[in-house]
Amino acid sequence: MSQPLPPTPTPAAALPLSALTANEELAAEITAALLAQKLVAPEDEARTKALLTAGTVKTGEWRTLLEKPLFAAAAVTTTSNDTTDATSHNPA
Amino acid sequence: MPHRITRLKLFRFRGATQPVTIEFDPQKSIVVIFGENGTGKSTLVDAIDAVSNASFGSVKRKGVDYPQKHIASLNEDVKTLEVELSTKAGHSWKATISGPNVKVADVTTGGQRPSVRILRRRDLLQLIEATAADRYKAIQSFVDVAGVDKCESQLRSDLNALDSQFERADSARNTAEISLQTMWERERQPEETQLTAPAWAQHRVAEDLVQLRQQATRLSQQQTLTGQLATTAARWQEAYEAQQACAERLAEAQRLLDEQNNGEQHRRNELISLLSSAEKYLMPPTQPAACPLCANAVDADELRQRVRTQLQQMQATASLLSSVGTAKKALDAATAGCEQRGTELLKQLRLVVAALAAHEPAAVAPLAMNWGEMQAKLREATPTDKTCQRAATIATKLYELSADLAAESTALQARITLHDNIKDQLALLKKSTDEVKDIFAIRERLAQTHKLVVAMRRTFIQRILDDITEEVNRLYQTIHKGEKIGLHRFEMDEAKLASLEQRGHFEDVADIVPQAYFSESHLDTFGFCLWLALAKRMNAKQLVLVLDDVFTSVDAPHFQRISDLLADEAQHFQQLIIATHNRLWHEFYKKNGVGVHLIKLERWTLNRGLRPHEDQIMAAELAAALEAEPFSRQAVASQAGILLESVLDGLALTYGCRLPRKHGHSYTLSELLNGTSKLLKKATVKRLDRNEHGHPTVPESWTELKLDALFQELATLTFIRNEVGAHFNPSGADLADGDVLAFGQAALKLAQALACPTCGHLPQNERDDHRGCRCQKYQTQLRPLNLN
Repeated sequence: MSQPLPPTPTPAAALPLSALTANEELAAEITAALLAQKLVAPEDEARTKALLTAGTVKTGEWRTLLEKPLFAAAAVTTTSNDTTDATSHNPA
Repeated sequence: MPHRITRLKLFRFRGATQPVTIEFDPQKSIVVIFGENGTGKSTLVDAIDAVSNASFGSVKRKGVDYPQKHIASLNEDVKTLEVELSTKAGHSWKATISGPNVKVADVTTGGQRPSVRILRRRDLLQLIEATAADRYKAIQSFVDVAGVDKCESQLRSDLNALDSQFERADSARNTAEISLQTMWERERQPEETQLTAPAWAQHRVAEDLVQLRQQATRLSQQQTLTGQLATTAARWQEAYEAQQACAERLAEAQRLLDEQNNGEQHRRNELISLLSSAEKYLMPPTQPAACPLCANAVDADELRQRVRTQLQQMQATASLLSSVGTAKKALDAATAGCEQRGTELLKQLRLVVAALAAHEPAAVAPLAMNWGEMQAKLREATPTDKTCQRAATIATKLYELSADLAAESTALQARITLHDNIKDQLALLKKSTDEVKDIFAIRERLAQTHKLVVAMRRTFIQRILDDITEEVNRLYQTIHKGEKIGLHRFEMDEAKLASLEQRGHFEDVADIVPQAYFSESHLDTFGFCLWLALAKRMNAKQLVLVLDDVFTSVDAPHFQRISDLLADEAQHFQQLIIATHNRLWHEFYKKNGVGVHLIKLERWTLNRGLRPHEDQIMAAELAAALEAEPFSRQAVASQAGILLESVLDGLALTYGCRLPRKHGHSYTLSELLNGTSKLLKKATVKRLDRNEHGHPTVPESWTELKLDALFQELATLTFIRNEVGAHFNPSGADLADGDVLAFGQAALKLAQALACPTCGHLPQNERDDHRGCRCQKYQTQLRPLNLN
């Protein structure tokens, strides 16, 4: 029995790279560059790509993404300082 | 994976006034649909568009407001319209009209509809002549990066918001710094002058505020106690003075009484009593004439008056007595009150002295009191007048110091408030400084990201446009070989995101507007090359390209090159469908179309609708004629002659064979055969052996064929073309069918020997030592490379 068809976009994941849309291709390049420059965290790669291909981007989403590596670095620094203090108080 | 279109079935769709089915050869990547104007080419193209893209195709255009009303065949109900498209994989889809839309439904499940891109004349014009914005729209699907554009825009917004936040934080930081500076200038002590404002603030904040607050609390309590002491002392003083006053009044009353009354108190009292009784007796209406005591005659009124006077005199004394009594009572009460006030005063004094003994404020120090000693003494003290007087004095002295105490408390409170203010401002300074730092850091990242996205977007788009430019020029040069004309650059207008500028070059001048310098045919081919270059950027191998009569102004030589170009480019796509009314093109494919499926549309009528027929390349036509029954001598001789002329003309052109100079470049078969004789006597064709499926044999082997023998045979038979296939000639009747058949077979053999069975083209392209056909691999090879 015939069924009405929706428009036929093909999922990008199902196509080879050359079959990606221009936006998807550019999003992949930008994501790689952002990762290389450590502007986004490696675990946020998928989210970054999603932001670049999404139809809507909410205010502050980019800020949240870009802040994350900053806070993570601050947390590591704080933890390192704590460790140093504890060590310095250890009896000989 | 989409597959080639293999069948179209039309029912009441546009020109298909009768049901019609058109089959496409699935083995051929190129389909050429030839038909003169009005035979239904656009109907077929629109049918493909309807199923593949759910589009109204060429019917959707300016001036046609409701295309759904005009898509059905004339006078037919649009609801009955159907177009069915099938692919090589066996999948089918059907298009119908539902309201204002084209609705496409599966006929079979599981397949993927073909990806079809159609180029019509108006699309060509859109590419060439459109405004920059419309040109961008035309290619938008190839360079659309709307998602990244939105991100760019959002990054800009986030940056602006962050800038505002930064300004606020920076302003707060400045305000805190100024406040601290002001406080420092106003409040610093001489010993603090060496400190900077921030250092001073840190120093002040480090003070033990607990002690200060405790001190302030004590001072406040002492103020309250001092006030209460003063009040209590005042009350005692008042009570004491009242007591004194009462004592004085008593003494006075006593004195008056004593003065009034010297003597016989008792007799007086009795007399008073007697007189009182007499008065009562004598009260009106009683009017006695004689005294009740001595019975003497009396005047009642006079007697009454004399009694009254005596009583009054007597009562003055009574009054004094009463006054003395009252004064005595008042004195007793005042004394009691004074004692009570004295007790309260002492109690209050003890509280005050205890507080002062614990912590003596600086304001009280001038009194030089030993509060501890006083506290000890007060433990056993009783509220005597002397003690209370002393207490009242102390209370007064303390009360006089209230202003100083208040000043000391105010100064202390101000110090505490200052401490709190400094602390608040320091906290604000730290918070705003940290915030500024954080915002600056994140802003840097946002700005960097925004810059990166902008730069990469521009580079990406420009790269695509440059790639397209390069490809367009490559294609364009194929058509316009050696002509100094082409595309210089595509550029996105940065001020208007969706705007594409194009610049061409003409002769040695770059950066010109093509529309102003290119001829119509150059613009047509330019637009076509652009469209083709864009299509190649898509997933080309899945694409079916359809050209709907796009070339209307191109001359024959350029048409040749376009055909060659399409033959080369077709291998990049799934399928290429060309609809054309140009007979030149049709003839070209008839000559060289081994890999092409030819369809011819006969004249259209309303009653008969579309009339497609299988068309054949010349070689196939000749082969069919050779096998046909009854055998048609004329047809065979004619077709063989035309085929031979075509083949020999191609060879002569490729090798520059000598031919007689004449007008119009139209040579007879004899002239062509003579001209190519030198070549054909030495020419060999080498071809890869293939099995019945067209695949190379394993192991790979090649066969080489000398053309000399074929040439010699043809040289003896070519006259048959004129005798039988071209003119009315009685001598032609003397020739047997076998002779004509031999001629036809020889011509076919030569054509088949030279034309590549894969691509259908004569080997023309120069290689190392031979000429090759158009195939990428396993080319048919023709030697020699050149005639010496």
